[in-house]
Amino acid sequence: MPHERPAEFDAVSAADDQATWGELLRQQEVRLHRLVAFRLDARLRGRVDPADVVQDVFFEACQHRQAFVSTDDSSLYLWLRGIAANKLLELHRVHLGTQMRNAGREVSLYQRQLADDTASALAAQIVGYGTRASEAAMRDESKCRLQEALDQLDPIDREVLALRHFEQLTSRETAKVLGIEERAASKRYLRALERLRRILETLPGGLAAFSL
Amino acid sequence: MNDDATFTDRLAELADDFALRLRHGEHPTPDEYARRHPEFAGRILELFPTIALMERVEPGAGPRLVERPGMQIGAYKLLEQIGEGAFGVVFMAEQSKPVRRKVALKILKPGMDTKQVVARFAAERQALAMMDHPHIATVLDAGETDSGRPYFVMELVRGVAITDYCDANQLPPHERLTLFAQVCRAVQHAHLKGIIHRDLKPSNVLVTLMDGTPTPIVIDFGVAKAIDSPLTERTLFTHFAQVVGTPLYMSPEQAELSGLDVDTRSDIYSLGVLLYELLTGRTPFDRERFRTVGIDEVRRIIREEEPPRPSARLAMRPSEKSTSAEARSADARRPLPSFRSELDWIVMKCLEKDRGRRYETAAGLVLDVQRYLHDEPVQACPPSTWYRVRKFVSRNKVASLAAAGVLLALTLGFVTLATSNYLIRAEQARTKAERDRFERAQKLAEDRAGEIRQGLERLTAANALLDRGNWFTTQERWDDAHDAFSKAIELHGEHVSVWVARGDLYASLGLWDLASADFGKAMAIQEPDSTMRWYRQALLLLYLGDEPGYDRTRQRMHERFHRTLDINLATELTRTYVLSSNPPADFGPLAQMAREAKIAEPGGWYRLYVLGATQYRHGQFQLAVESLTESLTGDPDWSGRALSLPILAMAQHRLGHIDLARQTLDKAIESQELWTQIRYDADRGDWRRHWVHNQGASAEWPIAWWDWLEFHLFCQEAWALIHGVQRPLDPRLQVMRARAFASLRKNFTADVEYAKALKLLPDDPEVQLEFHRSAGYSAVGRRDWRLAATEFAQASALEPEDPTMWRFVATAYFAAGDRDAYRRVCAAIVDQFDGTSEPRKAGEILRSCVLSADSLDNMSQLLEYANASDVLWHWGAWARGAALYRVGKYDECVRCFETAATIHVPRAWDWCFLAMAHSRLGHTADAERCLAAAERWIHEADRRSNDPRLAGGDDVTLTKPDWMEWGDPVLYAALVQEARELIRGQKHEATPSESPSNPSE
Repeated sequence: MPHERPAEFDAVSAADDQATWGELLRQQEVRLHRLVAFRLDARLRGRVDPADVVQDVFFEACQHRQAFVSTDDSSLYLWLRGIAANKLLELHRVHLGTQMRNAGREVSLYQRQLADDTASALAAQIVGYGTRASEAAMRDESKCRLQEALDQLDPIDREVLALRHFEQLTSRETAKVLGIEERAASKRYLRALERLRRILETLPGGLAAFSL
Repeated sequence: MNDDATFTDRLAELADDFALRLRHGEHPTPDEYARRHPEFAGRILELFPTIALMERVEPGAGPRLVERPGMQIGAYKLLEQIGEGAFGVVFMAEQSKPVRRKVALKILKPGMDTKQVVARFAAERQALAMMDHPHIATVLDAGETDSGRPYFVMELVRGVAITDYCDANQLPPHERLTLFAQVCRAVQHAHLKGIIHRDLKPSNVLVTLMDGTPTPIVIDFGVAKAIDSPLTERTLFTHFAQVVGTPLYMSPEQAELSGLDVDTRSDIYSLGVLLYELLTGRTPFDRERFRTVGIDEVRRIIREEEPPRPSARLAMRPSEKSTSAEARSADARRPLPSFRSELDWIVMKCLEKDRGRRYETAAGLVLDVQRYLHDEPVQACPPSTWYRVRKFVSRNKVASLAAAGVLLALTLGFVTLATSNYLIRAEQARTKAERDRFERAQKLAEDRAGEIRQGLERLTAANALLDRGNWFTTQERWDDAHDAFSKAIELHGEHVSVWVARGDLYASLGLWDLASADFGKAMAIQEPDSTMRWYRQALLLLYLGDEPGYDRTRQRMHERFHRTLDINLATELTRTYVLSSNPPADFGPLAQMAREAKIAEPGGWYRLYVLGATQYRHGQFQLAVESLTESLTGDPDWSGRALSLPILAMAQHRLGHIDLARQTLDKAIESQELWTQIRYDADRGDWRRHWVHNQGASAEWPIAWWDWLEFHLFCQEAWALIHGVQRPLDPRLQVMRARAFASLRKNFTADVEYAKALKLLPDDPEVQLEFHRSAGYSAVGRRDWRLAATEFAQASALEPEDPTMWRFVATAYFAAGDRDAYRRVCAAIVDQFDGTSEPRKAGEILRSCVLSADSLDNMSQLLEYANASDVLWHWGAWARGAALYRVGKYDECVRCFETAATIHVPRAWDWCFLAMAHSRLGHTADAERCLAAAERWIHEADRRSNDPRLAGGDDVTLTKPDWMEWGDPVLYAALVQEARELIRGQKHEATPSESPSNPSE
């Protein structure tokens, strides 16, 4: 994985030109996009395009490139993720303003729970189905069921699963974000998987209902 | 334990591997892993299917595009998707009323404020409707889809992009030009109606066959304008790709991001690019190059680089190396035939960086194209060499030597150019009569274009102010935001958004009457499509005691929305109904509908709350108690649930549970108390107190303001029902109102409101203090320094521990020219904070006492505070430097300010003290230089504060000359005067060190 510090560090400090830096950033684009899409408040989804937020993050990253070179952060992605977190907070503040207080929850990258909204909160799309009406209905149902299962998890389990799958963090990065040892992070992840599985099994039809 | 750890590690690794392969599009199965790693088989078979499931979730993919063929959007039924691009998706759709016809419906991708897009479109709609031209497809309608995206409806055009059409049919240049001339005429028609396209590019110019004749149709007029994003650099950067699609067709002034300044000549530029592309198969700047460089570079290229002339571009193509797909396909096409160089000039005249040098109108461009087609001399001619040299030199601020070399090289080329110019001029002279005729026609067209531009400029300026105001709002600079919105209203009062924006600002500050008035204005211009706006206005009117107004608003809202199938709209409509304690006659059926079909869905505090209120208003008290009780519990535990309490209390009371009702009401009142206190305290943050931009209000609500108001109404109603008397109003609300006015710098009104508040709370020292402070500010506004000093002194007496208020007193006396009083205050401050080492206090002492050379009997006292003053705090540095000057340490003074200048941009304050210190040290030249800098700074600050476009500034970083605090202008003037006397010996009658100037002069 190109996310370890030494190689990047050299690349960044050696190649001062925009292109190299741009290429390094671009490698992170997919994951950042996922992150933003996932953490963006459901109420903002019609108004804010995650791609724009990612562009904004890159813009900032370009301006503060030096800050990364001199930071202790070991991963470019996590550094960008931090910028993205600030961007999201800013966006939520600007767009939701009092509504944020209205609903009594401050949006934080690390605390936002999956189930903090109504049924569309996860706004997840389970891919792999076609677009015909019957398939769409099936997909919607699967979505609700997964949502239901995720809702039943402890917040920490939900967060670990979100980091690993929705944000696609490696176990090392997950550990860093959660501030724990890598092994502990792996353990927590396996445990969260296990709990999710158990809940899914209790739902009618079990896992098989997702027609994997 | 160790084994266990290795087991976990190993399993985690396998899980990672499995997930990664899925991500890469492979199809690994749990079985396959179980077979390969039998020792983990059990766990793998248990866990991996869950991993696979999680990997299939696309987070946040929510409403990517929910619109599908068959769906109904407004009056339009989607038939089939006919296009897709960076902007969104285009459908063919069928309109059912008023006429049945097929239209194109374009749904934009998310990323814009839909409401604003629709509002902006509405503002432009009338102008758009006036366009009637066979080569323009009109945008008919705009709106918001259920998923919250903007859409535009336009005449259906089945065609291909003009460039594609020309290439596919291998049209010769003159046929391309004929098509192009038709495009220009269409654009000219729009310009005469006051519409600028802003996004002309091949995909917006479609060619369709009409009776076998290729006919170009320009689409999307009004769209670019409507989706124009706010004008801050940041948003434009992020929206760059999305809104404009490509900067390739963008004029330099559009690329500049100033955005304020786009007129018909921007379209001329884009037409030039289009013509360039029609003639050469390429855009003036390379598509691939734009893709690979950064945004700033793109802007620089558009702004500065001169593209090759079209004919030169054609000539160089074979040798040009490019691996882009586009270039390859362009090369694969049959080479375009060459053309005469006049055509180059026509194109290049369109592409001038300076729009004053482009064709003034599209008509002018058409005439030249026609002249070319008829083999007549064209009006465009190559730019003069002198102009190019000037441009080059001004662009490249290189050493003059290098410039001179370039000049020489260009002069050599000049000879040949001049010759050809001469020949052209001679030919042009022959047709002078013709040219005169043409020029008269062009003059007329220019005059009309000028008029149109003026109207557009006002609208553009209003929009820019709106954006500025919104920005100020996010900075909590209510006064500046208010000024911006008010100015926007002055400029363009028929613009809905400006009223709504100011109304929102008033509401968030709790100025309900003003908010309601602005919302009313907005609704009179255009009735909102959002039930939220209706609800809020109805609520405000009811709160303000305007029941007929409430009834009217509710009635109109009912007419518009009662047939809605959208549960959210229905809920809001119902919520508006139940506000009133006298349910209107048509309430019954609605309640019925709401109960049965709409809001009876399970779950959610909000729905239960509205349902309970509906049931209560309907006399179903038992049901109301059940709903509202249920609404009080649940997850998350949100304090806002207390909104249910007053209604619950009333329902309990009606059922005869008198004690229970009282208890419930007590709980409600407790919440209200708490919220009021939070709101009240939020205004009092220490830092807000003297910050020039924020004299009071915080606009921080513990719950949304409308919830707050509604809660208030229900609490009052419940109190009256249960206790049989009206509950007196909370006097703190009056204080908050006064603060709101103070924070808008409406000092006079704030005084009046504070006086009212003081009547209600005569013994509250805090209100007294705020009252005097506000009175001080309004005296400052009238430049009544003496009164200001008195008022600030009274405020200070109430809170002697606040060093800033002391400084205000000192400053006001100084400004009033009362030196005795000023010196008394200085002595008192030093007394009050004797020996303090707290940086803020030390800084304020210094800032108070350095204004004159004799403020204290013993000036050397200042040295002690100078050492405590925090240099990292900008004022700390400045105060310290000034103190060093006052105690005669001129060397150190210079060093201090010079160090400070490496951290903070110097202000006139710095320059004055530096000038005086240099002068004392005998550095005459430096002294004069610094003094001049101070004078310039003040001049610039005055200019900025008088310029409505700059006033308030976006800049809180103190990098530009701007008055920060009320005392600045008069203090700086006094300091400059003191420095002038010292350095230039003006006003010789006193020795400078003993005589500070009289600042009131």
